[in-house]
Amino acid sequence: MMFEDILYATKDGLLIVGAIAKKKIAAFKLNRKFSVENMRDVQMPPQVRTSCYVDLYELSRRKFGDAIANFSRILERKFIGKDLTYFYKNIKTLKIKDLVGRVKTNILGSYYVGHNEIILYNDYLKSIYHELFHMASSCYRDDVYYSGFSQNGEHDIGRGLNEGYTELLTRRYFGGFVDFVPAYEEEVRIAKYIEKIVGQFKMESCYLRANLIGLIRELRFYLTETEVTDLITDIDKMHYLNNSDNSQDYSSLLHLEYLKNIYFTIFRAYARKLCFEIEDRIVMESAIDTEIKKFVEEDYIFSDIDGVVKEVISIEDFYDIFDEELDKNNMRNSRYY
Amino acid sequence: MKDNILKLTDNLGNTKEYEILMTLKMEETNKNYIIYTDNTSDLDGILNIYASIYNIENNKLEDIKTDREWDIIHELLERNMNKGK
Repeated sequence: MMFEDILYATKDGLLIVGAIAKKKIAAFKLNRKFSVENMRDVQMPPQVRTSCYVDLYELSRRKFGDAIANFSRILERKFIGKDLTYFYKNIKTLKIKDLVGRVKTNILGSYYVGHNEIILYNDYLKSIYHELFHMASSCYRDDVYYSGFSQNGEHDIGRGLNEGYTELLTRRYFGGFVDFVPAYEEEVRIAKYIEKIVGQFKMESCYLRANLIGLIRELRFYLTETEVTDLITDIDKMHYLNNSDNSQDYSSLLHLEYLKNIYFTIFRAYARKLCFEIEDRIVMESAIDTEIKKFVEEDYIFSDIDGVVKEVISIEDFYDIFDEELDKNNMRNSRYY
Repeated sequence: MKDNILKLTDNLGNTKEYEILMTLKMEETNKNYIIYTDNTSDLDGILNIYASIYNIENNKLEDIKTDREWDIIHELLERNMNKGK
């Protein structure tokens, strides 16, 4: 072939696609003053005319088509149609920009709601399914960008929980396809515990429908409005702390404080839920200890990065919280909403 | 017509052939560009290269107006032209 395809990103990330001739040139001078304005006829080879129609994003679709097809198959198999409204809408016009190896960054990939565009920076297999989940749960309406549990408008909220839950779903449904780089470990863990309270079916549905309000409504069965708001914003603060450039020290006091608040709130929510279930006889008193152990899942929660969670909470703390809630006698008639 | 030869005819009816070295589409401008040479060199043996915007719709060439576009084309030529293909 006389020409070979090229795909470039310049230093500032500008993407260029084209074809280059296989010709060795030692030195050249680019004549900027040469004008074609007075040319009355141009005969362009057909191959060049055709290649100019190559869609910049078509190249990416060809490369990532298998991953997208796999993602689509899994989603359609695992979720009901009503939960896939944003997925069906966005997949039609999704753009994927391949900058793998072309831009120096630690970021694996990003999804931009406004452009419905995924940009991949490093090793695309490790990040494409995560970004596709963002795509499948995003929309823009009334000047607000909604993506899973994240909302960006006049005020931003929910990003930390959203990244954690997106990563949790990615591992749950695509863990068998690729080895994952540890990412958002704390956020994943927190999201998992919130899901234990709300339930997988409801939480996945709220996520795909970009329905943070729906998730809040579920949590409001067990938490006050202030407790829910504080929980979500503490997760955000922890997330920003974890992802700021100079934050490598997980044991900073601020980080510990956020973690402690988060887990105490989560434990409190579950303790209240358990109290209601005992009152409703869904859980028998003899099974309380088993239920608590099943929820807390010590082997999982305390196997975190640097053992940080152990510093802020213990299973004994949970029993104390549970006893406190039981003593308050907060039964169905005085629920939190 | 050869796959890599561009023919330009000026207003006086003179036709000249150029060898196409590169075709590009830039995301930023959403324009197509043709980089070509008439295979002439100066006294130091430095190859003369030209570049124009290619308007597919009307099959016409246009002059490049901005330094940014020129700089990008120059950068790409620098990157590729000494690779010994």
